[in-house]
Amino acid sequence: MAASSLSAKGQDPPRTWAAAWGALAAILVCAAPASAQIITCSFTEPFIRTFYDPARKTLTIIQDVDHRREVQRGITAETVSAVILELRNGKGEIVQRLEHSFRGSDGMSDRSYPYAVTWTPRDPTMPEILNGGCT
Amino acid sequence: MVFSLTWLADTLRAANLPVEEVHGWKNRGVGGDVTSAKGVVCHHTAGPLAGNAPSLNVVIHGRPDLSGPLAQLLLARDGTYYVIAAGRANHAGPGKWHEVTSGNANFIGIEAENTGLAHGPKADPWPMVQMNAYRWGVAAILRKIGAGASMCCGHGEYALPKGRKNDPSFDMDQFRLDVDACMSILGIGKVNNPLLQRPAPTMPNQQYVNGGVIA
Repeated sequence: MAASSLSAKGQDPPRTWAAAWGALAAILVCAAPASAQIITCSFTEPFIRTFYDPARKTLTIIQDVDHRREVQRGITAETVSAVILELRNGKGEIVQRLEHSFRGSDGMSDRSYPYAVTWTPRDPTMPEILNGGCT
Repeated sequence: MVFSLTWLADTLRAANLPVEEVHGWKNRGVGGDVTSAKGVVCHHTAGPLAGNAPSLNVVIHGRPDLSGPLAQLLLARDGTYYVIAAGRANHAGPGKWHEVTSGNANFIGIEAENTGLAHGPKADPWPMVQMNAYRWGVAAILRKIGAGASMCCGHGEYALPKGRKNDPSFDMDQFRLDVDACMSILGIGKVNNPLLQRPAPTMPNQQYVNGGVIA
């Protein structure tokens, strides 16, 4: 309260500016990792996890049963609306479509994930479509 | 902690089904117990094409983002039941079947080893011995808990929203008819040999494939 009074009276502008820049720096520091945050998606039957790295534009697919790992490159993220994010491959095809619905599910546990995801693997050894949950 | 479903292994053995008890199964569960089992949810693993029970380790232990057990039972391709947990398992997720909305708390989960695919390089027709064990095992469990064949559902039937899951890949209406027939036989004590090498009584000379039954 005292600091606020001082600023309002213009008696301590350097401290006010320092505080403002400090707050802005804090926001930027916190925001930077968020913008490059890896999106982790959980699927079951088959038991698979995917990890999207927006900085590297890679989608890493891990098959839990046989420990196979595949990395798909050139995957871009496109914000379609306030709640829809699409991951597309180099051909422009939708690979994963995420909806920020807080109704995502791994299909087996009772946990609700922030994002519900529909994945189209385009792989003859996989189901045509898989639904899952992402964080 | 010893959980409620400690009768699973004996019940399956009493139906003359091959059973392997996974070490520690009577003390294994996640999130509590299944104190009042109301039915069975049938699953397929959608796992690898090769091997008898390649998904067993994942179904027992889960993975970093999904705690195991992921079913109480795993049915291997040779018809063996691996008994994994006597407590609750993460197998059902959100859904509804006959007004039951808490599948993990109320249903026993059976994961059957199958890719779930009808076409392509991982096409995986259900072996007769495995399907027979599936029918007889479900029948024995339902009889034990005092439920009818209608309380056996597929994961795809249970899961909401509709279409979220598609397992198991066979026709569940036909499966329930087969289970009902098995329960009738179990009920009148004709289970000295559960016909493991023969088809279920309602469908002689037929074989299950993904998506249905062929003659």
